[in-house]
Amino acid sequence: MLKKDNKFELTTTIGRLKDITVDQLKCYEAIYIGDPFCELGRDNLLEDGSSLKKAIKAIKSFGKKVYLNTYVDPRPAMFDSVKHSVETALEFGADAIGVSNLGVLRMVSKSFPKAGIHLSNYVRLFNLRSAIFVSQFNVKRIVPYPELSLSEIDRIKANTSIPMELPVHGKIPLGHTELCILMPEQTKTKKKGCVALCYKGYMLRSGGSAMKAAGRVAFSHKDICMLNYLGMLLNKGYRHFRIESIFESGSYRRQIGEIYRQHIEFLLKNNDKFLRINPEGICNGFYFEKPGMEYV
Amino acid sequence: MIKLLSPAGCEEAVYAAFENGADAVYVAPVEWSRRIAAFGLDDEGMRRCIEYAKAYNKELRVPLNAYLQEEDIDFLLGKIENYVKWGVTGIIAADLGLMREIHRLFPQAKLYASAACGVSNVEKALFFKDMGVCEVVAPYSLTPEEMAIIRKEADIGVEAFIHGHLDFNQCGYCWMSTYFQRKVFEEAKERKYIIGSVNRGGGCYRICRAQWKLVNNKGKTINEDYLKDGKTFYFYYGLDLLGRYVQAGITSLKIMGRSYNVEMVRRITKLYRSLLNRALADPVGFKPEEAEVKEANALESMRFCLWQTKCQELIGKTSLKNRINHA
Repeated sequence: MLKKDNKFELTTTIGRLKDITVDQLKCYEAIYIGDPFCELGRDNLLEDGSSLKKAIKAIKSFGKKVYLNTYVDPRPAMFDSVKHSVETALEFGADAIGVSNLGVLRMVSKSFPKAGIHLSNYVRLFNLRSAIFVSQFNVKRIVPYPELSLSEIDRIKANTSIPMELPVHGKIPLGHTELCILMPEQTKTKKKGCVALCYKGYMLRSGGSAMKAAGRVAFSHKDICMLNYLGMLLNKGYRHFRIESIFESGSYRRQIGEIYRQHIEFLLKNNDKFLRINPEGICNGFYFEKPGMEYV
Repeated sequence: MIKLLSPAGCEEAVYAAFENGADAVYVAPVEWSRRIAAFGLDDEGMRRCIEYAKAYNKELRVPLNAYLQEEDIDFLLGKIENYVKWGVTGIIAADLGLMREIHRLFPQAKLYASAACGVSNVEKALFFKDMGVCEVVAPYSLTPEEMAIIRKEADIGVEAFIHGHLDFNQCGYCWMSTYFQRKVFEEAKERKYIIGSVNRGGGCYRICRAQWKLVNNKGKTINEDYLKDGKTFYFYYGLDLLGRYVQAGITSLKIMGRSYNVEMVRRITKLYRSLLNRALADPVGFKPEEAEVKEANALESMRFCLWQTKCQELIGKTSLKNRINHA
């Protein structure tokens, strides 16, 4: 049976100031800002303090929460800039810092001890002991490592007090490269600096398989889609859901957000009805190779 | 003093590496590192190698650098207890839960952060130092000067690759293979062994070595073999960098290749021993000799032939049936 907590949070990710519009973001409670993958990316909010401030102000004016992304792999020379972004974001009211690198985790927890930290899937926590270890760093949320199964995530969730944020829709990042994948194409343009090919929908194709090429990340070609499993996730007590949309269009972000919001709200609203109609609760019978009285 | 760190995938390779000048050798227990199950030692083999290293005042480091399930950690701690009892120099690890337990339970063993940890800045090195780590592996793309910053500011040992290959994704930051193919290896004795997931210790299908076309948003093919032509990955050896590594204060020079055969381990170790000795004697004026470059290239060709055959075989097991040709 669905748990009675009806509050939930739908989040998404935006890398550039120009993608921040009320229409695109109306279905979300919170927005992660900044491209965490590439410091060379054109218009990356993490590289421009002025745009970062504007972005935070704009999102706050929509009544949304703001979480600042930080880089997956900052080199020694980039670290002061990372620290400066965190400082600026917190000063302008960012609600938490998204952390993908253990060095950044150490820096944020030492230099900004009051800042809430959301650990990204790039921190690669595979087990409960790792999750318990990082909980000392003011970690308020964990995005699970992409290769973990739901039962493995359940186990971490059941034994820590840190909420898990589940990516429920969008491309899956499949790693992080040493160099920009699209650099050879960019070089052909003969233009100085990044020309933001990440946003142009380039694909790598091999036979019937594909990957989406974007800077220092190859994403899955298919969107992960957990729409049909939202009831199960809600039932297990998950309340933080992410739509991965950093290199997607505004239309994608808006439409997917609408679908998920409607679906989650429907499930939570009708849960109360089920409770009234079926006071003894509900079950799945024998469909899932479990005892008939259980609800998956 | 820089230590030359050689790879081994079997007992004979461990002895060959030590006999040809390695200061330290890394060899994994079968089924428990970031390689397929074929490369590694059983407990008895490991005990003999540890005792051999100890007798000759050398180092034996054991990579247990997969990311682990909760119950795997308990099982491995039992293995580590034996290794420590036999006198192992240290453990190479990546999983935070395992690292914490090793430092807590076996403080006498040295703890090394695996290449999979991707330590590319001072703060990250300090994070691992706080966990009890004595040496971290620098990613390929860091310059010797960036490594020197980490070495100095974090006051921690830094290991640099001297011979290996650069992958499409950064070491430890790749789960591309399991996206396309994933299977549980039923014959594994000690663990749930997932083939396709390097991070879980099951080797990978080398998906990135297939032929990938770059296609734009209109469906037009821009390049027929983009990853190859874009030099997204390449074979790497740091012959020219050796002098700079010495000057940067690097503590270990790592040769990649636990899947190399005994003969290759012997030749590679011998070559880099000779190079390193000269670089240590004169780091500023160091330059590899023509014969040394020739030998490095010969080894690379040998390795490439083996590697290409293996890639073809692995990719053939997936749905990506294209040719590979990255010569």
